[in-house]
Amino acid sequence: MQAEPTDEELMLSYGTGDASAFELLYSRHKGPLFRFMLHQVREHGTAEELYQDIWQRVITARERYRPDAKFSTWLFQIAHNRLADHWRALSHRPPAPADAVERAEREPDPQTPERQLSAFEERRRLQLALEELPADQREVVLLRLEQELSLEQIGQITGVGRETVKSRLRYALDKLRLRLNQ
Amino acid sequence: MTHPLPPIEALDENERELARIVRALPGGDPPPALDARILKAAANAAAGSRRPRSRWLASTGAMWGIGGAAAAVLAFGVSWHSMFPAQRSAGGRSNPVAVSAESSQDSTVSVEFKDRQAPQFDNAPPPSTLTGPAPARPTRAPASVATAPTAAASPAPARAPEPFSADHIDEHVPSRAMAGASARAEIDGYLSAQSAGNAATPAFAEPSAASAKAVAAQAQTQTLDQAAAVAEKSEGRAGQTSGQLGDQMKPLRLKPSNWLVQIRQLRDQNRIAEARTSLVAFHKRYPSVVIPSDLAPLLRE
Repeated sequence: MQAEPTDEELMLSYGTGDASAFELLYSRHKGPLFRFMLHQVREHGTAEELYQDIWQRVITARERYRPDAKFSTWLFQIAHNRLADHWRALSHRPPAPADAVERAEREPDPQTPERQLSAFEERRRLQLALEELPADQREVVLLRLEQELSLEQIGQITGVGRETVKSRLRYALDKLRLRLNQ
Repeated sequence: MTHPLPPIEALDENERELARIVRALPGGDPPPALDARILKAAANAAAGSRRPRSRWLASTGAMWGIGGAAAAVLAFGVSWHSMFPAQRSAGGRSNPVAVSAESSQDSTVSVEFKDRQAPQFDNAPPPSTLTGPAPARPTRAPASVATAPTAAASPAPARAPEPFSADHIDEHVPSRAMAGASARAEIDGYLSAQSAGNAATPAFAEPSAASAKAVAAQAQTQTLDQAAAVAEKSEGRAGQTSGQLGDQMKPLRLKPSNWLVQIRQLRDQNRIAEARTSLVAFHKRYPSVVIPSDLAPLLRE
């Protein structure tokens, strides 16, 4: 049985003009990347715009691609740079809704253990917690939890060292747990 | 792939619990319209990345085609020049070469051919006789006939058909080949001058004493037969044979020199009437040939 081509092989094939290779590559990564972008910017229109820009950069760089790292690492590095441009354009990360904490507090507290929270409540709290995180911490925690990337890969994507990634990740996880346990 | 595999760092228990919730967050996939736009852009880019190669290949093929055609034309030209050098050198002239091809033939035929065909060769390609057994002579202009190598072989300048004196009838040159060469030179000069429309060229001036001497010298290298043939053909009487003169004209089948010898024999045998009749026939046949002085009294008797 023929093994599935790796992401790197598909990208190299696309670099030589094989459009079908790109289709397969796109199908593998479109969901995780779109969700990552949506969770970062929290707005569908902006997420779609940035998402399309990221893929356009992949297309443009097709002939320069060298498999020095995993394709997913390279892809999210592009996404990271695009997000940085986005934040830079906005001068600062959009603040969390001013009433985020109040809204969270207004939520009925079942006074039950965390495990008794409904799935919906869990997601709502986590959503709020993510929005409150600084951008660099949110990015790291999403890459870790959603993409399951290693600290090494996250460091390559974000351009920081492993210890920095580890520190950001630790702070982010503590805040999330704190929010969920409230 | 050659990239180093990243160290596997599995999610610990706390991370797995949070990851489960994060993955359950709303988000989903991008809208189909967005997918279509991206895939279309990717396909266009892929087609564009193939197109330059096609253009390069097409241009390379065209260059090879042009180069091949040029090489073929060059090869054809080289082979053409190597195969037909004589034709190229003879392109500007025709008559003399045609005559040279007839060097092994009877001079009468040669003169007749040249007289009748020379004007037609002015702008025509050389005939096939160019490749005949006789070697092609160097191309020369009509004005240089007198100084051409072939003419130089003759002790006297070549001359066109002039009234030939039969006084030297017995002076035969020992070498027929030399006589043929001299005759060719004379004929070449005559035809070249005619084809150039230069009938007044000094080489073809009216007969004079000097020219008579030249002709006399010419006789040393030219047989009487050839001279008579030149005279005969130049007067347009080629083809007339003994049929016109009946049995009495039988001597016409003889060579002129032999004919005159025969007339002298008749005279010496005191067969004066027969000798006179034969001489009259000879004079009619070759009116431009001066009757030898020893036979001239026969005509006056």
